[in-house]
Amino acid sequence: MASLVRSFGDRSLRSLVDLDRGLVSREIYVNEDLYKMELEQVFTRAWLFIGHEAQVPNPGDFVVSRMGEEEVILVRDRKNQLHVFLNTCRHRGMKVCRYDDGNTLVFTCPFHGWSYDTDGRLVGVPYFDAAYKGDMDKSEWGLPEVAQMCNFYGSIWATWDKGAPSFESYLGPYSDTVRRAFQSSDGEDNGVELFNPVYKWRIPCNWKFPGFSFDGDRAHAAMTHRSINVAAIGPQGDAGGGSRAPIRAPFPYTDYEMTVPELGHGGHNAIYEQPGLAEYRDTWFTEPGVDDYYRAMREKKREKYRGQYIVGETALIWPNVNIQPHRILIWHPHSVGVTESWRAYPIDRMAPQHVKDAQRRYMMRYGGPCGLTESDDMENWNYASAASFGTVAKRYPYNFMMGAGHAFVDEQRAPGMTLNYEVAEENQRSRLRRWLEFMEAGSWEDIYPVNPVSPSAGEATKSKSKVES
Amino acid sequence: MTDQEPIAKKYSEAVGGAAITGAVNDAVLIRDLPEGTHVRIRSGDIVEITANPRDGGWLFVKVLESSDSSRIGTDDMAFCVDVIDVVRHVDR
Repeated sequence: MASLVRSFGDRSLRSLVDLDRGLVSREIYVNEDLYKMELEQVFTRAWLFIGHEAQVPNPGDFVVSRMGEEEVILVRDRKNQLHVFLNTCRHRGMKVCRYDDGNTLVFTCPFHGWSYDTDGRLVGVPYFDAAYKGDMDKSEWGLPEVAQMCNFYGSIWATWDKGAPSFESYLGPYSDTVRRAFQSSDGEDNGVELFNPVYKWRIPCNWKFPGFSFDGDRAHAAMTHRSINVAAIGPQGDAGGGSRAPIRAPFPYTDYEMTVPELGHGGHNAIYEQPGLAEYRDTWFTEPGVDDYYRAMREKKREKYRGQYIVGETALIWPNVNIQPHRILIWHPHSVGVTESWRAYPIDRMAPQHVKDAQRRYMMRYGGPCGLTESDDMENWNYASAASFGTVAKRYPYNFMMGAGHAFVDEQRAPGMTLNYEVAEENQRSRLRRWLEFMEAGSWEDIYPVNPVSPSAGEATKSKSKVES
Repeated sequence: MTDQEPIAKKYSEAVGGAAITGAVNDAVLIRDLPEGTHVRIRSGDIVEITANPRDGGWLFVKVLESSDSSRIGTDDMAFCVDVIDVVRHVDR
């Protein structure tokens, strides 16, 4: 299929992203024109995370979300159907919904009073008979609705592009990862709800700083998170070396950077050397009763997954959402140098309140706008962004060479994935490759399922992965 | 005499006989009107509030009385400036 090479000034887009050499121009992180192209080429085309069905359990319930820079409304209509609408009146563009969430019969524009049913139909136009005199067909002026919406095990995703592949196809090998992220701790589908509210804050950096590095930049942790790694913010407090992560039982595995280059998704994932799940290890020493709950749930889940190999517990789903058990991280573009960062925290819907409270407190001190780990990251993203806007600074490309040429595949244990050493930049190169494909493509036919850009980092080669325990 | 006259007349007198486009100080504030309330709308119809979205702009109504018999019993929406008067209150 044809690939349209769009030019950028006197340079082609490809000249800005040299993945064979691991060199990427800072322009793609700081240039206003490229940013505007992204909004069109990436964010009106890709499947984007909207929210969770548990946020809108009753008819008339709504929650405002975002697709790119633009607000959308996730609403359950009076017939119990879910919709995602652009939050703009068809008359003069005013937001028809100015609350973060709630329940309503209609969305009434506060400007001139056009009113829309929860199924998007325009149902009320002031002075309709007297002023329009039958010249306007209200059925043609409903709220703009996304081209496709998918309820994937409770998580809601949407795209503005009717030519996009199905969401499950879009996920490829990571569909199981996303499915499991919305299971309760015992492995039951549709088993979670989200803490309300979703955390939202703005950070002064391009969306790709967090979006392309999360779950693809393990190298930063040793330096950036050194203090947090020894600060005992984990559930176990001072025990277990003071790690920020919960204690886990030993289980033989090897960590890798894994990615699906032709789709752009990827994460830091383990390949386990034996089937099933590790037994539960008590870790909530500062929260009485929580281990009892999670231990019982884990046993049920171990039973469900007995004999199965699990691959991929987290994933960055192209382009801007990281899916993990217990947290969903979304980076919405807000302007070329500003990202609106959202955190949604799934929790077992049926968990007792003391478990929900304990999990919420842990997540709050771990990440989010005032969480300790996230604060470390923001410091880097913010100042890396600031130091990349300069005229001279832009002459110097970023270095994405780590692990280039050392990717391999393991079709038996991780089918469809490309692997690299756990500390690499394979996933970031994968996202940059997908970015280039989206920016060049004229339509979905150009970018799915084929990969028109030659593989970077050398050809992926068959290799037997090492075994660690 | 039209159905608008009780308020319209007062308004017209107050502004010295100016054209009537809607009451101001006598405006019926619809945001908190409960379901079951009967109101008169600009067309002269008497309607019952079936649902109130509480946005201050619109009411869901059922037509109870109308000079156009085909409208009686139908569901409609009433815009705030078209609500002329409350003709039957209900307890909340």
